[in-house]
Amino acid sequence: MSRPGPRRVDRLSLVVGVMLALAGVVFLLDALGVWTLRVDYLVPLGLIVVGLVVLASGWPLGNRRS
Amino acid sequence: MTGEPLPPPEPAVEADRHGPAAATVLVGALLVLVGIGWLLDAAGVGVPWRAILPAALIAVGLACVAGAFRGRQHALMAVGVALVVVLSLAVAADWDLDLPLAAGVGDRTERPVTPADLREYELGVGNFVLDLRGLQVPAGTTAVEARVGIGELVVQLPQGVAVEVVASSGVGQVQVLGREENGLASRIETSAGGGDRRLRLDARSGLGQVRVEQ
Repeated sequence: MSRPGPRRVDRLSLVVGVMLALAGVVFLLDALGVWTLRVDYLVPLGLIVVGLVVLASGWPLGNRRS
Repeated sequence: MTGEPLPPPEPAVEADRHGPAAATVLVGALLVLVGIGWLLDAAGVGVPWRAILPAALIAVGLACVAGAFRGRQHALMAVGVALVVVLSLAVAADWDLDLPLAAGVGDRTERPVTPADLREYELGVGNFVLDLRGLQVPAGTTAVEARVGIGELVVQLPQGVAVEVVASSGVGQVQVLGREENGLASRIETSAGGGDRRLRLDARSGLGQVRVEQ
C-alpha cells in the first residue's frame, strides 16, 4: 500500500484568498479615511485583480516531488 | 456466458472533513455577527459597518488561504466575492454604510425656524423635504447637513442669504439651483448670493435624487 503523497495546495483558493484579504485591506483603509477609493479606480482595479487571479492560477508550479 | 470480471471499485476518496467544517463555521459566525450587528443597529446602537465588512472580508480571505491546503473553498470564495460586490457598490454609490438603518423609513418634512432647531438630518429610506425658507440665518456661517440612504432629498433654501451647496448622489440625479448632474457619483458644488449671513449645505443621497431649490 502506497503512502499518500504530500497534499497539494488548491491554487485557486489560495490566490482568491490572498486577493480577498488584500481587497479587505483596501476597503478598510478607505473606511478609516487613510485614502479615498474613487469609483473610476474600481473597474481597472477589478480588472487587475481578475488578471492576477487568472495568471496565478494558470502559472505552472515546480515539481516538488522527490 | 462469462464476461470479463469487473475491475474492483476504486476506493472512495476520503472526504476532507476539516476544510468544509472550517468554512461552515466561519460563514455561520459571520452570519451571526452580521445579525447581531443588524439587531444593535435596529435598536439604535451605532454599528460601524464601513469597518466591519472589510474586516470580515479580510477574515474570509485569510480563511480561504488557510483552507487552500485542505481543498477548494467554494463557500468562502462565494462569500468573499459577495462581500467585494457589496463593498464595491457601496464605494461606487458613495453609500454611507454608517447611516443607521434606524434613521427611519418613510416620508418626512422638517421646517427649522431658528439655528437651535437645526440638527443633522438623516433618513434611511424614503422622501425627505428640508424646508429652510423660514430659517432665521444669523450673521456668520450656518452649516446644515442632510442625508438620505435611499430616496429623494429636497432642500428649499431661504432667500436673501449667501449659500454654499455641496450636493451628491451615489446613483441618481442631482439638481442644484438650475444645474443638473445624472448617473453614478453625481455631485454639484456651487454657491450663490452674498452678504454676511451664509448658509453651508451638505446634501447627500446614496441611491436617489437630490434637489436643492430656492
